[in-house]
Amino acid sequence: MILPPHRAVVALVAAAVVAGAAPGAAKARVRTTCAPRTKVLSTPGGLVVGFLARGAQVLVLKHTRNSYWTEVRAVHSLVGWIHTQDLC
Amino acid sequence: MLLPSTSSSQDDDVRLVERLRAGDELAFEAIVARHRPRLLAFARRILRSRPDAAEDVVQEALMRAHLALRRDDREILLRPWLFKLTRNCALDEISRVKADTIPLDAPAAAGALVDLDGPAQAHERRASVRGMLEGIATLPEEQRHALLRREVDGASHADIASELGISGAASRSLVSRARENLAKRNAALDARCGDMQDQLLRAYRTGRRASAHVYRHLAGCKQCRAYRGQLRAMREALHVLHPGGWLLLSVVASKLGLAGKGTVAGLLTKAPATVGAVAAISVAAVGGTFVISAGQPSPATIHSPVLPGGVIAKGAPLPRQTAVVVGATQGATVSLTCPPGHRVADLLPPDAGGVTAIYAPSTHPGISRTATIALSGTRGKNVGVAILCRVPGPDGSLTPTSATANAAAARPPAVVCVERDYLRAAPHSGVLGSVSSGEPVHVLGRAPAWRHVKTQFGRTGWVPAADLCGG
Repeated sequence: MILPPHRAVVALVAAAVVAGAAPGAAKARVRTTCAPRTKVLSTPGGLVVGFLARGAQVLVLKHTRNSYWTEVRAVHSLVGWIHTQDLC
Repeated sequence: MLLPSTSSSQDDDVRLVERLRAGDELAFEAIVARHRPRLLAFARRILRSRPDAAEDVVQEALMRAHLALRRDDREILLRPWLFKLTRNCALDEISRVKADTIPLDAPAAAGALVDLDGPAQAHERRASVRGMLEGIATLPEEQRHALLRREVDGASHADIASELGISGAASRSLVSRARENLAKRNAALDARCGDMQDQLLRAYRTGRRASAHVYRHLAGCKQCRAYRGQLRAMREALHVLHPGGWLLLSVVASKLGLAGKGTVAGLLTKAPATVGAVAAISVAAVGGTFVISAGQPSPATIHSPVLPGGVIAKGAPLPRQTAVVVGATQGATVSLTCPPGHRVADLLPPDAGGVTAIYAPSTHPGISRTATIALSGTRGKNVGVAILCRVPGPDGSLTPTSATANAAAARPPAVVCVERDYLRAAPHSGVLGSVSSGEPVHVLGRAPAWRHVKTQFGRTGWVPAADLCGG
């Protein structure tokens, strides 16, 4: 189901609580994107599954070993990977 | 001075105006008899190349004067006001008449146009004077009045100030601004049409107004006005028939095979057939989407791991087994369907800034044929979106087959059976990335309860064996 953005933010916060219990989801927290257009990939080096406007709130799920990539949950429950440097 | 004024003549004019306003039509005849000869001479000087039009111009001015004088009882200085009316009518006439209809062999009424150097020079001089008069016609009324009174009549700033009800300094400022505007207009008219059209195109693309310089050029350039007309017509055709932005325009250009020629600029140079072609393509796309198939020019530069070499330049032909599907929406979602046999691959950037566009959860890249894209931040504007589609290989992978992949493909691939899992550097170790449900992976090695795999994007890592099917 696709939630409207304002409800999606609520869902994000709710997801943050749930994500705390998810396996491997360490230190879940909500961050904001600072890049004008943040590309969301299915996996590092994979397919583009979304573009986030500046200021989009995301829930940080995981980092790669080198911290170059961050897995996030964005609006509409989209899960994907973004460049860590695109976060504020 | 051309218009000497005396208090007695002014008194006479005041009385005549009073009589006219009281209903005495003979008073107007007296006004005409008194001022018409000078008004006629004045109009002839302005309309140097068309002295025959002066009669009509003065007639028009006097008719306007009659109507205005009967309409209200405002105090008026009749003579300067009549000259102003005549001047405006003459300038209207110059603006109205197309330059190419003015006979170049018209007898020159003024010494400035006397043919001293031969027909070419006389022609040039006439064109210059005509251009200047056309420029004057475009000035704001007060500036025009001040400039002409100063330059043509030789009136003092005090006289001009009195006529316009302003100070002497303001009169000087008006004349100065009028000269400045004329100079700017001349500079704009001399500008290259190519540069002006580039600026117009940029303005339309960004949704901003072009500079005043461009608009000054447009005022005097038929060719560039036609170009702007084509821009407007094309945009209207696209928006009416299929709402979309510049991404869509690029696609249309791509469809017309113009992407390599500057895309929209190239499209526009194909007028007048272009707008019709755009409309035809738009009609074909109503209710659906544009599909750009293999071999047709790419509407944009696309970076994707599923493309051979990882990138395709704008205008280059799309590779085999690849397509781009474009749509547009003002709403919250849009669905784009790949051609038969193709699967959804990359999402391409939306053609508007500040917009969030993501695949809806129902869309599984590499598996789905239809992508549902959720949009936010569109603010009611039409936003163009596009996806890249690919025909999957025999192993289910979207990436182009390479020599190494061929070797790996010799073994049947495994498929990720869970919704999502992490790809790890070693069992229970740090994360390298992730794999998704239905994604084909090639098993490279085994460990108890773990498999070493290579993804379709060339990444290797470990995943739990229980999360894989087949292989």
